[in-house]
Amino acid sequence: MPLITSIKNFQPGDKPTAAELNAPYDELAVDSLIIGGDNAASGWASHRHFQNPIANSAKEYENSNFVETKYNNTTYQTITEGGNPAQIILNYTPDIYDCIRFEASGMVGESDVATDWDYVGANIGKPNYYAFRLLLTTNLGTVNLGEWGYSFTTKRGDALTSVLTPSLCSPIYWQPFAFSTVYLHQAAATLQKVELQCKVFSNTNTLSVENHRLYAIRARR
Amino acid sequence: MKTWTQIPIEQNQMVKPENLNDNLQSYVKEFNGDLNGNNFPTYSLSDANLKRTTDSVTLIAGSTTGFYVPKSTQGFYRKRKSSSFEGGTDVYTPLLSINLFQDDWTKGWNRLNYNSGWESYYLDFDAREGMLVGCATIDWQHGTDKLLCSSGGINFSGERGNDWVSEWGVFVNDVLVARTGFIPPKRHTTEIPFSIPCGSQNIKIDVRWITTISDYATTGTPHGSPFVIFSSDLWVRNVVR
Repeated sequence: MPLITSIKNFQPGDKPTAAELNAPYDELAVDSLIIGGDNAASGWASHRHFQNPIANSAKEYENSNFVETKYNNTTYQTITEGGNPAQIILNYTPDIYDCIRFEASGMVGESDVATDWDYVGANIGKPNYYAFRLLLTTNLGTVNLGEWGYSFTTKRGDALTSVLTPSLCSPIYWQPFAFSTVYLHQAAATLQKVELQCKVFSNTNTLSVENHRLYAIRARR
Repeated sequence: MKTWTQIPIEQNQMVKPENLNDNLQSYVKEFNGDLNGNNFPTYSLSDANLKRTTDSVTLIAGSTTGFYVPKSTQGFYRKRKSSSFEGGTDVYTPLLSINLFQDDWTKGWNRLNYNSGWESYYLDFDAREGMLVGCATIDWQHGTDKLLCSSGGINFSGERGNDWVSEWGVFVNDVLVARTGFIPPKRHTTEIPFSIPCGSQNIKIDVRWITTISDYATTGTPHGSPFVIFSSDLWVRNVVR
């Protein structure tokens, strides 16, 4: 507790020693370097006292080139257009229990859809799906921040028992996508980058990704 | 506050006790708890000066994960259920399937946390006066259904449900604060940002859905396209200063 306590209230006739006179100042020399909440009055700070960067800070990646890139990979792959991966370089070490918000959005263009009918069995409905992922890389490894899915067409139904193959539904063109999550930093590590990735269930379908953007918002205390 | 030398001491002046006591105590009183906005330069407070509140962090584990992290200027509250994580499967496998042919749904708002295994899927915390700024991100699907007709040697396969629509809403203390509008049939990850002022009070936030079914199959499987949820991520930031 950085308070000055070595004060003597001198009375008439006292002969103060050098140590008694110096003590409060010696204590001040130490305590003034560690001023804390005990030294300040309650409610002392106004918004004018805060440095401008005290607000939540954001980093952004934006691809607005109106150029589609196509993906039929069945494992996650970072979305890349013109050699530019959809990623934000973070390169900082948060405090434990810092919160970082991540948000991605974009546009799915004219995907090439060959398969949206249902398999019988465990994969019912799945050929119609594609998914996105936000992958965080730290100096200790990777963290899967979240996975979110969409369908190429409107179809979902199951229980197809006939040998008939239902006709292909029209692909949903110009479908915007967006998702967000909050990451809680729980172990000492340096955040290096976050990437936007995608995959499809069936490689007979090709996902078209148009403009997209990625945000990382570091929350202050 | 501001302070100054109470009794200036002049050359050759006799030193009286109050000269020493009053001068020193004036500064000590200031230093020992009366420093305020007059003593600190404007724009001098950085993020590092704000108190870290690591002692009151609550981590939530199990089939619903999340955290409650109150901080100096804001608090973060989050819960998630996801097939890829809490469900232990993958992004293509539904975590929850709601059979719309049964009596476990209504044509009004259906609470997600009324489903088995989802009972704890809502945010419940004591907010401080300020704003609630958050987002619900739900990966769900109510797709169209196949229709298979076989009659007189003619087999026909088609679809039904292109006019089905669904909607999601975010409720804060049972008040609808954000809604999506109707969404046509498809699998969709729906993001619902919301913000609302709040007092120093208990806050409960949950997400609910509406869907419509306009047609009905009289043969075969009554309703082959259930309302399915793959994941839901609900977070809110309580901004206080």
